[in-house]
Amino acid sequence: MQIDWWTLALQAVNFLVLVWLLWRFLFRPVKDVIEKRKSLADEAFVRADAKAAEAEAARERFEAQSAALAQERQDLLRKIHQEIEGERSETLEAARREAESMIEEARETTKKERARTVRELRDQVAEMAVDLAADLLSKTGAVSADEFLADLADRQLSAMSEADRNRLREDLAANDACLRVVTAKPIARQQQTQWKKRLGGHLGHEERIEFTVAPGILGGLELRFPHNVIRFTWADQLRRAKELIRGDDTPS
Amino acid sequence: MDASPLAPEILFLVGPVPISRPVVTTWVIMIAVVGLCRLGTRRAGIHGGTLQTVLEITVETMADQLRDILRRDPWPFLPLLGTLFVFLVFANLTTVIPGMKPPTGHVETPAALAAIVFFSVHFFGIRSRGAVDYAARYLKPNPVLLPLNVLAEITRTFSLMIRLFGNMMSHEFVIAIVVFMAGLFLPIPFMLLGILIGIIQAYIFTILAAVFIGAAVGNGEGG
Repeated sequence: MQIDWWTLALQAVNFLVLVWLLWRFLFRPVKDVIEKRKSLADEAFVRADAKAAEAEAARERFEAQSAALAQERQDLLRKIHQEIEGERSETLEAARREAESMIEEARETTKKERARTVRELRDQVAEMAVDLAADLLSKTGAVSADEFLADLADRQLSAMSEADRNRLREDLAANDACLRVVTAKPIARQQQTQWKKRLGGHLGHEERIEFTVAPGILGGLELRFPHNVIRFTWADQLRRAKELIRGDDTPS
Repeated sequence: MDASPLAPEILFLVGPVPISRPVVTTWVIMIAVVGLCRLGTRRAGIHGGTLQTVLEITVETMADQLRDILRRDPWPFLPLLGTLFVFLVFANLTTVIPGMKPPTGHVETPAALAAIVFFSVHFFGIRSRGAVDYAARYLKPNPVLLPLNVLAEITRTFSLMIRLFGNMMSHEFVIAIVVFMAGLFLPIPFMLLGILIGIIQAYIFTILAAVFIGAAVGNGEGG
C-alpha cells in the first residue's frame, strides 16, 4: 500500500484548521450561549429563591401578626371579662353593703320605734294606772291607807340613825323654822295632836309642827323641814310606781 | 502500469505540493461545515433560531457523551473530539453524493486523524498528570510490560486508522462493483447502508479517541 505523505500532511493540517474554525464558529459561540443561558437560569433561580424567601418571610410575618392579633384579642377579651367580673363583684358588694345598711337601719329604726312604742305604751299604762289609782283613792278616801302611811312615817323615823335624827332636830332648831306636815285632806284636831306627839317623840319641838292641806299628794303625808322633805304620800308612791312601770330605776 | 486504486487522485499541483482529491473534498467539507456553523451562530443569542438550536443540541449531546466517558468537564476536549466526529460524519456521508468520494476511503485521511489522536492523547495526558506521572503509567502494572504498553499505544492507533479506512474503502468498492454489475438503482439500499456505516464509524472513531484520552488523563479528577 502506497501512502501519499503530502496528502496525509495536508489532511492533518486541514483537520487542525477545522478544529480551530469549529472552535471559533461552533463550540465557543454555543458554549457562550449555554453559559449565558445557564447564568440567566441561575439568576432566575436566585430571584425565584429570593422571591420565595420573601414570600416565606411575608407569610411568617402574616402568621406572626395573625398570632399577635389573636393573642391581643384574647387579652382584650380576658381583660374585658375581668373588668366586667370586677364591676359585677363591686356592684354586688355595693348592693350587698347597701342592703345590709338598709337592713341594719331598718332594724335600728324598728328597734327604736319599738322601744319608743313600748315606752309610750308604758307611759300610757302608767298614766292610766296612776289616774285610775288616784281616782280610786280620791273616791274611796282611803283613810286606812293614810293611817298606813302615817305608821310608815313613824317607823321610818324610828329606824333612822340618831345622827340623822339629830340633823333633822338641828334643822328644826333654827329661828322661825317649823315642820310642815302636809296632808291631802284636813285632818281632825285630835288626830293632829296624836301626830304631834308621835313626831315630837322622834324630833322634839312639838310646838313647831304645823299642818297644811295639799290635795295633790292624794293621801298620806309629807314632812317638810326647812331644808329637807320626807314624803310618805300616795302621789309620791304612784310616781315611784310609774317610774318602775316605765323602767326608770333612778330613785327620786 | 495502472495506478493503484487505493492511491489518492492528484487533481493539481500548488508549487511542488500535489493536491489530491481527498484534500479538495476535505476543503469542500470544511467550507460547508464552517459555513453551516457560521450561519447558525452568526447571531447567537438566548433565543436562537432553528439552526442554532440544532447546533446547540448537537454540541450538548456530544458534550454529554464525552462527560460520561471522560468523567470530567468535556469542554477542554470538545473542540478536538467534536470536530473529529463532525468531520468524520460529513466525510463519510459524501459517499452518497454523486461524483464525490469520501476522503476517509483513502488511508492518508484516517492516518492523519489517527496521528492527531495519538499525539493528542499524550498531550492531554501530560498536561493533566504531568510528564513523570504520565510516563510512569507505562511501567504499570509491572515495568516488564513497558514494551507491550508502548506497542499497544502504536497498535491501537494503527487499528483506529485501519478500521475507519477499511470500512469506508470496502464500502466504496462494494458500491462500485454493485453499480458496475446491476445498474444505477440497485445500489440505493447499499448507499443507505453506507450512511449508517459512515455514522457508526464516525461514532466509533470518536468514542475510541475519547476513551484513549480519558485513559491518559485519568478518570474523575479535575473539573
